[in-house]
Amino acid sequence: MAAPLSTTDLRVRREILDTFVAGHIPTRIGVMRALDLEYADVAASYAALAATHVIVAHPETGEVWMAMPFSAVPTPFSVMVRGRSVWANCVWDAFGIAAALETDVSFVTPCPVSHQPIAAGVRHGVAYAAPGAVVHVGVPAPRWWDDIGYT
Amino acid sequence: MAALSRRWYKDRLSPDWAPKSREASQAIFTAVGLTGPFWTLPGGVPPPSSPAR
Repeated sequence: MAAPLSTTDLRVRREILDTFVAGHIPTRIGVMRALDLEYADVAASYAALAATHVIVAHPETGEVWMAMPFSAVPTPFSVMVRGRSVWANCVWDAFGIAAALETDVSFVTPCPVSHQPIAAGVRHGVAYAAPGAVVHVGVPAPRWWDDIGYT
Repeated sequence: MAALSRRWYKDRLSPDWAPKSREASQAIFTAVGLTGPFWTLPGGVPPPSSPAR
């Protein structure tokens, strides 16, 4: 079992999320400067946050890949929120951005079968989606973290 | 899906946020009707209401 998160880990987590909310992609250097931490402290917190599935670190760069519901890399879920565009990891997370920020969102994502655009979002606090839209969850919960990038 | 997202993420930016326990996460699935082995998180057993497969 992963160790409990420290106060520093939680500060780093919050800085990562706040950076996404501001419309930017977080970096370890940026977090280090924002929180006046040593680089090694930030790296240790990234490791702790990844071990507890709070973030997913990119396997090649070590930077944040996912800090759910946000993605640092382009996905089929470009979410318009508060006048800017952010990436969500999946439809669950696209609606999750509305929940986390307590605001309306809109997004258009291609149907993986027909490739036709599907519009969805939250308007005046109420979720909507194109008629007939169906969410397909292809990986069972016990195996989500076997390959979270695929999930 | 939106109901699940709302329950899952509503506290994500709260100052009091803490990681959800496996049991709390499982309870969210159950609350929105997602039950059975497909929705049973690692380390758990399907809730009693889960349909047999």
